[in-house]
Amino acid sequence: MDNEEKINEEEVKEELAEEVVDYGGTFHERDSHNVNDIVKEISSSFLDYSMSVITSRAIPDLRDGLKPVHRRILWSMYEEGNTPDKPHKKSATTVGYVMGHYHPHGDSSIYDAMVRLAQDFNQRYMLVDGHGNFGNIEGDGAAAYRYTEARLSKISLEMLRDINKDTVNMMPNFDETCNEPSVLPSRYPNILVNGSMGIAVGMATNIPPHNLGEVIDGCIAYIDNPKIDTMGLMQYIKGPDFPTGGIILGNSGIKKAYDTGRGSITIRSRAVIEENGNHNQIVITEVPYGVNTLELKNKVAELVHNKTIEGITDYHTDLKDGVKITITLKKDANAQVVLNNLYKHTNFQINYGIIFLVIDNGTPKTLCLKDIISKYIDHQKEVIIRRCKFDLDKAEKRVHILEGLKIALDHLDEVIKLIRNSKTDVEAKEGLINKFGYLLPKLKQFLK
Amino acid sequence: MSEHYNESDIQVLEGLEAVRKRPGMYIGTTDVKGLHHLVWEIVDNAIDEALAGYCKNIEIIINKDNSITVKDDGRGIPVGIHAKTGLSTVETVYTVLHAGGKFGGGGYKVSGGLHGVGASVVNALSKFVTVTVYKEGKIYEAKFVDGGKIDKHLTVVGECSKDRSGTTVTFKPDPDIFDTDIYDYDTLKVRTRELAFLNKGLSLTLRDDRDDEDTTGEKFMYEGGISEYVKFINKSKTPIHEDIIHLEGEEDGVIFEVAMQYNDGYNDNIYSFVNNINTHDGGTHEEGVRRALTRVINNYARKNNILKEKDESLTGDDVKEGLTMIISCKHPNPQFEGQTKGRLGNSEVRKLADSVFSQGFERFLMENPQEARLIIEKSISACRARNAAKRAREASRKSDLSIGSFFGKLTDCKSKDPSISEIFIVEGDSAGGSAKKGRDSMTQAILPLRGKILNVEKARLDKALGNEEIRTIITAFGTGIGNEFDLEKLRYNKIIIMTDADVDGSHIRVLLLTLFYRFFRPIVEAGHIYAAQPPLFKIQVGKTRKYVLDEKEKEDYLNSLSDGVRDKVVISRMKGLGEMDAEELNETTMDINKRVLRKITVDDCVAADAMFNKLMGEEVEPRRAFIEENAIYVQNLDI
Repeated sequence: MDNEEKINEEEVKEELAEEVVDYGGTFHERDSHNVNDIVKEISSSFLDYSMSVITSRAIPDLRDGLKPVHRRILWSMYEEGNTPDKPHKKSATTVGYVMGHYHPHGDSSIYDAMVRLAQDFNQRYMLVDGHGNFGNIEGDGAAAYRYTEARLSKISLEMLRDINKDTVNMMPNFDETCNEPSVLPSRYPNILVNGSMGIAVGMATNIPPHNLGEVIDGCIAYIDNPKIDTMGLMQYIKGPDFPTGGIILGNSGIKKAYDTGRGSITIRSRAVIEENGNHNQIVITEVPYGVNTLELKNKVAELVHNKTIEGITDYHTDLKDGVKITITLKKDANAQVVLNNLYKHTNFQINYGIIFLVIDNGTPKTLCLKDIISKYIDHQKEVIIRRCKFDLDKAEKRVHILEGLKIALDHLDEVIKLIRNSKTDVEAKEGLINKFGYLLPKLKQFLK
Repeated sequence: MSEHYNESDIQVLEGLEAVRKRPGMYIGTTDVKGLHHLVWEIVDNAIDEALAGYCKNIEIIINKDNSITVKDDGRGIPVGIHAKTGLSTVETVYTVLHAGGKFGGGGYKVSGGLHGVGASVVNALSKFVTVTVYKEGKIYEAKFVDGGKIDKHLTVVGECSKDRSGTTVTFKPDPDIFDTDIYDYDTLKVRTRELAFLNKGLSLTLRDDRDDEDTTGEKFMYEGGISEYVKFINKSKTPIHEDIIHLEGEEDGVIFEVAMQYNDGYNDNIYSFVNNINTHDGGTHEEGVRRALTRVINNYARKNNILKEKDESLTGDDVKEGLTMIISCKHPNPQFEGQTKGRLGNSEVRKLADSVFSQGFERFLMENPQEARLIIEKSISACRARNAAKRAREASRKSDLSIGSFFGKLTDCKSKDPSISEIFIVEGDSAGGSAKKGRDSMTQAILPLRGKILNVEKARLDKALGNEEIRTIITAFGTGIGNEFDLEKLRYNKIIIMTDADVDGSHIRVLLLTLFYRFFRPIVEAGHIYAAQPPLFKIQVGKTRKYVLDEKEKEDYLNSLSDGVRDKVVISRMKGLGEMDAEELNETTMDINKRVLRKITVDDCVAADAMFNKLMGEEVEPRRAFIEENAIYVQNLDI
């Protein structure tokens, strides 16, 4: 009896066990898993991340000087027909279009990139023509994208010119529903003209903007004489040309950067000392590139407070028609001493490290000026050859059709008769081929 | 089979048969780890010869067929007939479990292998083994096949010069037993290098013949021994004093050695070894040193008025900040304790370690007052940071007590049993929502993270604790942190990192692993960390959907379809976890019956430390160099 009862109990238990989900015991053995050592895990993950950031996020392509997000913005605006000959469109439309079609990242990163393209103190030649509050050099941000409007600027059309003539490779977007250009034709050397700035992982780029005319002259000089050296190029490209102006002190830094791809230059504000009644004032009309004028003011206030600089009584910033900073001095202050102190202690004078780091053929490279120009010219050659081929193909197709039509006109009665007597299109086509030996494409067009 | 085959052989095979049936008991696992373990069993024998002072060169060769050859120039395994088994000693060593020269009796003073199973276990788990012994002018050879069956008895096959001696072993692991039979060069290299560091003057050569037979291989030999090991670990760091402190002592046959150097980092790298075996969980040798270190530094600091009377004494945690230290102990009769046998238990070692270290280190401090001051200042600043962290922790604890914010954004599971609970650390709030809907609320907890967390490699504990996200993780784990850390209190058995299958997901995974490795290293070492593997592709055929994890699986699936169907499939690359709805997420990534997890293990602490330092640390140059060197190996590139 005892035994039997026991057995029954056990059976009941087993049944219960099947009903209740068993979370204990072998629970975790049900996972299938792979094992990976932490060193391999982090090195491969880190490599994926860092290489992606370097090659397709933070560093511009040599050929068009654009990072993918900028390229996508320009291409999207072009696709949308958001061109300079039409009225501005809401920025939200563009941001949405770029995000939905090409750039699967946050909206703010797209809008921020677009705003930068429209800021006159950031871009030497603005690629986006903005309307509304696009921020200022004081560091005030742009209005939200539901307020502002934008369209492509005229110079952007040069970036995009002939893009529909098969001049550049197109690649599928992230969900393979449409195509985007892998690079823009960039009919002017945007990499040098507008420069670029970006911090990737383990490396960063800082390319200053240049004058469009100078750079093009430099390119022409290179085409005329591919053996030209850095000094030769510097006859034409004298140095960076910042949208905010300023004075570059000395050109050894420029030469070194153009020679090796890396160098450091010192940029100083443009200032004059004016007399105003019985005291002097320093008037600054240009500040170094990338300097935020509000931070400048705070820094000066701090220095005055700490008594590092003495003799300043007032400080005003006027942003109307470019920057104008007026620093009023005490009666007995030596204006030149104050100005020198400002250069020394504040961003009225900065060091600007040039790094010509670009993506060339999918890999990051630090290149000298001549290499950049020569590789840019190679890109232009390709664009022009592909455009010519495209135009030639199109023209040849047209010639075909016209010749076919001409033959038909010459034998108009025969052709009409042949077609009328045919029962089907195919029969007519075969008849015409037999009779006139025409090529098929001509006939198709004609039979339509 | 020769006529020597008799009943004694049969017993031997039964013994080895047990190894084949339960390989886990002898070598841990039958995966990659176990496969590599076989090499060390043989190499350890050679090293024991070196420890006894008879072997100078060891060569490890990966042959074309993924078999391994280990050559040494030791005394060579004895070739005489063994009284107990009636076989030659070579055959006995290779076919009888617990046959060895290391149970005392004068063969060896100290050794890594103690149980005499190494050689026979390797034989039991191999397709074939060839042992060649060079001894007294003759070359002997024995061959075994199929898990230790004697194929060729030990015979003289040739002659060599009188002064040549040594053993050469070639074995090929049995593919029926191991999941994989492909040896990884880097894995072998790491341990080979470690052995070279730990046995100064011993030359170890590692050669890979699989791609190119003409390679000379890499030779590892360090005259400086563990001092060079410290230098190697600190290579990517900035030491605060130039000379590496190296101390040695011997008592009753126990050799004790320690090398150390401080760097300006915030983490410590203390590794201890007993007879070349890494004692992960420390033990008496490490305790002795740590105790002496704290005491000596405090004494010196007080005596020289660097620590004032009212200042609190420095703790063991303060004095080890930025410390790189290797402790190596050679013991004739070590007792290992703990679950994984990772702790030394011999109590007499504590005393020896303490006295050797305290005398030597005290002397160093007195002879080098400038370095002493730097070291102590480093410890004092660690002490300050510790106090700041404590205050931050207390402050966070107080605010955490208010209802609602206790676990921050954590959605906990119902079960309170850590052994079945798991926590998903999810990238982004948007994916957190579907994870919450798709989870098994009984056992699965969800913790969504917003954006990228702080890189703790560049931040100190007190700053890290100021970070909301990190605080939430700490509270959720329940283990505490720093010196309050207690692995027993871990609330989850599995900590699963679930990030998008894109490059930012990879980055977040690296950041999280940095956090875990730096603040919760015991959790990582105990193997609680996993990475979820969300599907990479969605393949749609008509109305059926199939998710696959990688390219290979995708190809396999496509090939399994009939031709007509294959043209109609729609393949889409999955990008974010947010793309899937709750049901899909559960099906593909979370359901314990269907998911695949990637378990993160730590094979080599030194390499892991160096890698974190390189990839996440302050110095940019090593990182750049790493990227440039490895750019060609990149697997997933986001365009």
